This record gives sequence, structure tokens and C-alpha cells, in this order.
Amino acid sequence: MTEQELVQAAQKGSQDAFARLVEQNQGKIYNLCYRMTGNPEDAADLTQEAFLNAWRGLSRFSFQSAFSTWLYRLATNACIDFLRREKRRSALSMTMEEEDGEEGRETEIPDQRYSPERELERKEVHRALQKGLSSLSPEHRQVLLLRETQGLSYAEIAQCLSLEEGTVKSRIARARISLKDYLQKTGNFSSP
Amino acid sequence: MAYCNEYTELISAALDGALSPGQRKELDAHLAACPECAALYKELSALHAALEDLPPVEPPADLKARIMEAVAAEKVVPFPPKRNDRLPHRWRWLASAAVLAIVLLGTWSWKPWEMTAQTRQSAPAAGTGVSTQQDAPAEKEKAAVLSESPVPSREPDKEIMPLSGDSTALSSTNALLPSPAPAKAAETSAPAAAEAPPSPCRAAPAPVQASDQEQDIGVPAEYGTTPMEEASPSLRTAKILPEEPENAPIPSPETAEASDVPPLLFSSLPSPSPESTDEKAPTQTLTLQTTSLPLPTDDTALALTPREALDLVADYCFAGSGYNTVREDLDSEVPSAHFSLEEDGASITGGTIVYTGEDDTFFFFECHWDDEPENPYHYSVHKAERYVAWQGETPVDGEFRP
Repeated sequence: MTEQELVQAAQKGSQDAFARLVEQNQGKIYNLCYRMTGNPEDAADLTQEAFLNAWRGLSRFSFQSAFSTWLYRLATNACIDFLRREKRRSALSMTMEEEDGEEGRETEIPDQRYSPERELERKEVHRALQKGLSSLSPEHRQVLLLRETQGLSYAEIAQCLSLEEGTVKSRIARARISLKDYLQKTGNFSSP
Repeated sequence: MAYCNEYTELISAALDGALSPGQRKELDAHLAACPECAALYKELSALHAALEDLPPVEPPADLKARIMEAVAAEKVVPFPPKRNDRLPHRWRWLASAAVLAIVLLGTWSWKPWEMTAQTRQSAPAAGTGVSTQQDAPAEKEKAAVLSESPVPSREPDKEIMPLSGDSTALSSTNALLPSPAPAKAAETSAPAAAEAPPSPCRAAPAPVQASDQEQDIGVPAEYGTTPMEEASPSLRTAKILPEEPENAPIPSPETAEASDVPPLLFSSLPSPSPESTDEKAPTQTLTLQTTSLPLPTDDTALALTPREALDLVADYCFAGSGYNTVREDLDSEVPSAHFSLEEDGASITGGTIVYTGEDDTFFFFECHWDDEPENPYHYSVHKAERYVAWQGETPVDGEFRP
């Protein structure tokens, strides 16, 4: 079945169809949530929330975007809410993120192309990047991840977040500079 | 490095292959002439490559099963859906509060926010708390403690009645009663209340008394700097005025929208508690609009009413805090944020902001979000300058000035 057929079946109440949609999309949604939060448990919870919101709101999906675009919107909304609550506990959350970041590394799929040393080095870079991402405001993190790790175009991001494309473009630029500045400040980024 | 700000977007868009040929030509010409921008281009390219190189992370093997389990549960549980106890504590489904909570339906900034209060009224009788059978024991405590004890710390066994989705316990009024209610301590009423139908109807507790009550509670001495754990003095009660604020016009929705500040509308449905001794019981329905208040230019600024202060805190909690969250899910069944205000002691729904005291220049609020009933958040509201600061944050970080 095509994605449209699956969604239509799910809209009629087919949990099997929805389960297929979950299979097809959980990886990308989970990755987005993971990169947004830096925490695998939070990412799993937020992924679950996004899909549950999708199930509940299926009747409102009108195929004006890709299903995944709609899912990304639900997921980023959930992540933003979550991060706002975490900000209220900002001192605590940074600590939590650091700890969980350590665990999070274990969920990375190892790349067999690299020697163990190189792989370790890569993991350090990834960890530093994740910390840098976590230093960004949620709105910067959101657009940057949709662009860089989820590969959405400016137009798709604009549709997903209900923003103007110009806003998406400038937000991504600012996010990149903020991330670069943070990494340079923390000694994790040397000018090439 | 002093790169050229006006070229940062072009540089960034170039990394995404989003430049027209003309734009690319312009950028290349500039990069050839500007070493700082050329360096920025190299740095952002490296960052772009590093981000693209971030490996995918594997979701937990049971994630799909968990999701489908939750989906299946959705089918069988009637509205309001049962809270998902499988989730970690802090991730209780907010949808379960749909009937009982104010639902935030609006969007930030350019559109009006609308909140629809669901029926949820406070438990009757001072000091009586009803907790949901599903909630942690901490949630069985009374808000009444506010009227007798120091500023609450983050201990779960104090003060504000937490309001979870299924909780039917809203006795926050008790917190604001001037005299200690006899049954203030954690008193759990029958679980029957928690099993009540989705729209339990309980009388609101008595409204907040005026500040000249027996219990003169001072605002915590150190606003903005005192860690919550160290907050000490007890809290004063004050009456929240039912009438419109004298000195600030309440904008119409159109006006408010035009002013780019979202009006915060909500209806509360407290009804007077039968045991209320206060003649001026709150009206059945209160609609508040907020924050197109003019900035103070004279002494009238000092007349910021508790309601205005509540509004400011509401806006801060929802729309401020430095986040520019766009909410387009106006018709989403699942609200992404819950918020409620407590007026005249009647907690409405969801997270609770309780007006807890005032001094010459500040109001002090304790807020509970319904997903963190045991963690109070504290906000101060500066009357004269009408800003809200979250206690614990620096004023620069934590201010919201509408």
C-alpha cells in the first residue's frame, strides 16, 4: 500500500495500517526527538507522544503535506513543550543531559569502516555536537535538525513549522552561527 | 572574527544549495574579497559536514510495540482517556485532563490564544483535598498549607494541590484562606471523587481573603536570588478583584491581536463553595483578557491588580520564557500545554498558579504544572514595571515584559 492508502486506512480505524506507518516513520521521528533532547528515554517518550497525537488527530490530516511532515510537526511541538519544561529546571536538565548523553552514545550505530580509535574520535565529535545542539534554543535546534539531520528542504521546513521560508533561512543561519560559536567557546571546534 | 552579518544568510543558504546562480555569484565575489567571511564559510561548511555525519540512532526495539499499545488503549478507553501509567512520571498524558483542564488552543504571538476551561472545580471544605487514585501520594496534600506555612519549597508534601488530568482535587482555595483550616494536612477524600465522571462538579473553595487577614504572610525576602529550597517566609493572602482593572483598559480581541500580544482568554467555572464564608463569591464565569496593558507612565502603574499580575504570569508561562513557539494545532485534541489559574482560591484546572501574596511592588506566584505536581515553580511579578521573573533565574533571563 502507498503511504496515502495506509493513512486513509488508518483514518478509517485500521490499527494495522497505522502500525505500518509507525514502522516507516519511527526511525526518523525518534532521531529528531533524540537530537532535540539528547536523551534516549525522552526521545522514546516524545516519539510515542507524537505518534499517539497523530493517531488521535488523523482525521485532521488532509494530505496537504507528506505524512512525515505532519509527524515532524507533532514531534517538534512535543519536543518544544518538553524543552520548555526542562528549561524551567534548567540547572538540573543540563546535568541530566550530560549524563544521558553518555548513555546516548551507546545507541549510535557503529560505523565499521573506521578503526576503533577513529571511531572513538568520531564519537567524541558527535558528543560535542550533541552538547552544542543542546545549547541552542529549541527553535534554533528544531530548524537546524530538520535541515541537517532530517534533510528537509527550506520549503518543507516552512510547511512543517508554519513559517515563511525566509524565516526558516535566517533561523538556520543564526542557528549555525550559534552552534559554531558555542563549539569554539568550549574548545570543540577549531577553525578549519 | 568580524564577518559581515549581511552575508551570513547567503553563506548558510549556500551550504544548503539554496542559492540562485546570481546569488552564488554575488557570494563568491564577496568571499574572494572578504577573508573573514571566507573563514566563516569554511567554518560553517565544516559544521554542516559534521552535522550531516551525525549517525542515526537506533530507536528502542520495543518502541513500535509501545506506541501501538498506547494506540490500542486509545480505542478502548473512553474520553477522557486514561492516563498512561506506563510512561515515566513526568510524561503523563495531558489529554487525560482534557475535560478537566484548560486547553490551550491558540498560537503564540500573532494569533489569539484561546483556552477553554473544562469543568473542574475545587473540592469543597477547607483543607479537604481529593487526590486522584492514580496520582502520587504527594498530590494528596493541601494547598491550604500556603496560608500557614512558609513559601513552599519543592517538597511534594506541601501547598498547592497538584492537578493532574484525573485529579478531582482542587482545594487550592484553602491555601488562601486567612485562617488555618482545620483539615489542612494531607487529607484524602474518598477515591470515589477520583472516579467521578469526567466532569466532576465540585464547589469552589472560598475566595481569597483580603490581605489584612490574621495571617500576614510576607513575600519571600529574596526575589530572584533565593533558590526555591531556601525560600522562607510565609505567604500573604490577598483578594483578587473581580472587577476590571481600573487603570488599564482591557482590550478587545481585535485590539489585542493588532497589538501583537495575544490576548489570553479563559473562562473559569468556579462556583462558590457551600462552605464559603465569603459573601463575595466569584462569579460563575470569568473571562480575562490580558497583556495589551499600556506600559506604566505614572503612578497608576502601582495599581496593577492581582488579576493583571495573574495574566502576566500566565502569558509568561505560556508565551514568554524566550521561546517563540508556533502553535498551529488549533483543533488538536491533544493540547500541548496546560495551564490554569487559580482565582479567589479556586483552582481551575491543570497546572495552577496561585496568587500567594503581595508587597509593595511584587506579587509572588507559585505555579504547579499538571505534569509536575510536586515541583512548584515560583514567579514574581513586579507591579510597577509589570514584568514577571521566574524566581531562580537572573532577571535578564527570566523576565517577561509584555
